[in-house]
Amino acid sequence: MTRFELKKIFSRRINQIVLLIIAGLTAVCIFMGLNAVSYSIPDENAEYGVRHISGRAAAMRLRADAAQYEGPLTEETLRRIIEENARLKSMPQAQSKDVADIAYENYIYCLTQGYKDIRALCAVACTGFQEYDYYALDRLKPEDADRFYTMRTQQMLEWLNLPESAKLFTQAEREFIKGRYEALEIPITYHPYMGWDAVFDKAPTLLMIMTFLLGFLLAELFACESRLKTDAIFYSSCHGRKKAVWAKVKAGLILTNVMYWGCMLVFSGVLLLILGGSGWDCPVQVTIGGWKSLYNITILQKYLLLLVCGWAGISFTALLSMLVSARTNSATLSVAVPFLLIFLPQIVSGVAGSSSAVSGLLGLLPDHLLQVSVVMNTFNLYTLGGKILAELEITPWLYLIISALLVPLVYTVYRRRNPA
Amino acid sequence: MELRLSALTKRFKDFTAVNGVSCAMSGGVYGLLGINGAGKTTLMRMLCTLIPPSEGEITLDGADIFQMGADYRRILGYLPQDFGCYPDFSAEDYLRYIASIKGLSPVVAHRRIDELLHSVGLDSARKKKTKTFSGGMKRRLGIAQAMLNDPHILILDEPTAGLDPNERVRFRNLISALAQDRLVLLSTHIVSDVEYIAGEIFLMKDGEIVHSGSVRELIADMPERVWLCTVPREQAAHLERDYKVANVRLAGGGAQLRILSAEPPFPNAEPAEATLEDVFLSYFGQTGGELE
Ligand SMILES: Nc1ncnc2c1ncn2[C@@H]1O[C@H](COP(=O)(O)OP(=O)(O)O)[C@@H](O)[C@H]1O
Ligand SMILES: [Mg+2]
Repeated sequence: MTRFELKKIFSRRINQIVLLIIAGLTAVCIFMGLNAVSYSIPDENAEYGVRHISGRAAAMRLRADAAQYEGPLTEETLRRIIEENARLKSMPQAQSKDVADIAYENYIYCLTQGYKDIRALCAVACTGFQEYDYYALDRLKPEDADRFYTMRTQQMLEWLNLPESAKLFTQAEREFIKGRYEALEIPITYHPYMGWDAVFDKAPTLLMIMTFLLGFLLAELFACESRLKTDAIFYSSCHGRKKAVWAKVKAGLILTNVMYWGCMLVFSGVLLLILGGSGWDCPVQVTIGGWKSLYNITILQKYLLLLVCGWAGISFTALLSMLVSARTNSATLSVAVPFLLIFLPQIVSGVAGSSSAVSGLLGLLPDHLLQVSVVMNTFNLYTLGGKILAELEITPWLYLIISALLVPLVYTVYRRRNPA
Repeated sequence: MELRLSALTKRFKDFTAVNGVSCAMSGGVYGLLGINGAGKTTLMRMLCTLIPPSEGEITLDGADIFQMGADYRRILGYLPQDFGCYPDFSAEDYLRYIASIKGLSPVVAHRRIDELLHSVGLDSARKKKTKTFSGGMKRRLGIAQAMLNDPHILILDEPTAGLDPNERVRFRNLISALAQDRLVLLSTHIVSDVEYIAGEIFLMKDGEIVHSGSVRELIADMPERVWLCTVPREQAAHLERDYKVANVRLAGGGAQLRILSAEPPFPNAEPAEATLEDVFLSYFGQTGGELE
């Protein structure tokens, strides 16, 4: 029966096209991920004296350049990088401004690619809290390296003591954040992580579009019987109010899971295979997007969290779409569900800013599950049974539980229908 | 086997579509005859457990069919009046799917589908998508799906609607062939659909069964008699206004009218033998011909 339910969806041309779009989308995301890794090579014949390569070749060159800085990111390593950077920057031609010198500047840039990741890290670590300054590294002196780690906690504490933070966190929550910061094992370990970076960067796009397209496919699953007037025969058949309905729910779950895991594993698998999986054991704080994070996890753990969060998010939107179409028999309404769940919260949060009450509430909405990288830098905390937990320690499980509860609900709603 | 309807009523908001229908059926072909809007489809949908009655109950050998649920539907075949097939399924795939939701094992289904496609004459179209089917083919496919589980109770809602006269005759023959050893309830607004094949006919009007019986009984119980009157043409118009007229045949300068009336409308009116058509006219005030 389940096989036929899937056939009902995919025998329709429009749905076949949707399937192709999903496959194409995955390919595009992989392509964009590969393209985002770039490496510049000095070349006298090229414009401005450099040519750029991307993809696997770039990743390999970057990795080779970075090899000398890999391992624990100690004050000693940082000092070496600061000194090396200062040495390159102070070469006489590095400061002038005509075209030939742009070429020279590019040449210098090529030499700095080995500590590209550390430069990015300094751009958030060695400036104001929640600020970004690409040139931060250039302004550091060797002795600043000693303050690298202490600054992280110190800036956070200063931020917590600002008057506008006062109303955001309780005393217990401040302690919690402080505890998390102090629990970070220092020095953190650094390995080039471009494969993971590409995955984290493109995953939200893939997930969001996939959620919409999936809603489109699922809407048809439940709404088709009344649209095609096949419901009278469906419900008057022996299993019409039990197994046949269950087959529909099962088809929906299979479709959701096969599509989600298929796309995500292919997408991340291909990127990691091509770009390499090094850096998996580094803490997320080594990445530009993770420095301030209170989640003390490794990059691999972040990847697993991303998979679970995405799974929870897409399962929830999928089941809600199924519920709406089972209840209303309207494909349009159920296509609107993922749209409302994903876009509306973003619009609302854009309008409302980050005032506590609203952002706390918004944090619980499922759109955050599709944007793990962003959420990992926020400080949304919730108290559950006296225990303080960070947003992503609650929401994926919360939504997986809600999804599990929606399954019997969808089944019951659809099996109780009386065809109009 | 006895299928019994007791004081069955279905209300939609403030409109009563079926009103206190009671009857019993055991085996053979039953005709449910009534004009559009009489409540035939609503009655049949309750018989197929698609909608619950507002009042009253339907029992099979004493057990409520809604309580029986799947056990009842296992022996039920239903051809809805207005139904769709999955447009991108082939006839064969469609029947395979319906067989699976009817709980047939794949082996049984396979054999049954072959037999049925043959008996409804869709052998050569079995691989064709149902969206390419004509109205008649779709209805034959509908019959095939209804017969898949070899139902003890077969409910056919206006099975001949929308068919051309030739197809309609073939369809009637098909139905009488399929009617062996089961209970068939066939609804129609066309007298000739049930005239020869139904053992018992229910006349349904405004949600109620106004009369029932065999064709002969219905004719015998008719409150009016049938008269043939030959009159000048000018007079025909008067008579048509004052009496129920089943038929007008023009002949020469005059007209021959078939009139339903308790008393002879005319001193020289000749009594004639009544048919089921006349019964239909008598109860519904309109003819139940095929050309409607
Ligand atoms: N779901 C419904 N809601 C409201 N009225 C309905 C519904 N179904 C049928 N009716 C009304 O009940 C009456 C009987 O309809 P139906 O059972 O289809 O008659 P028939 O099949 O004899 O033509 C019609 O007047 C129709 O408008
Ligand atoms: Mg009807």
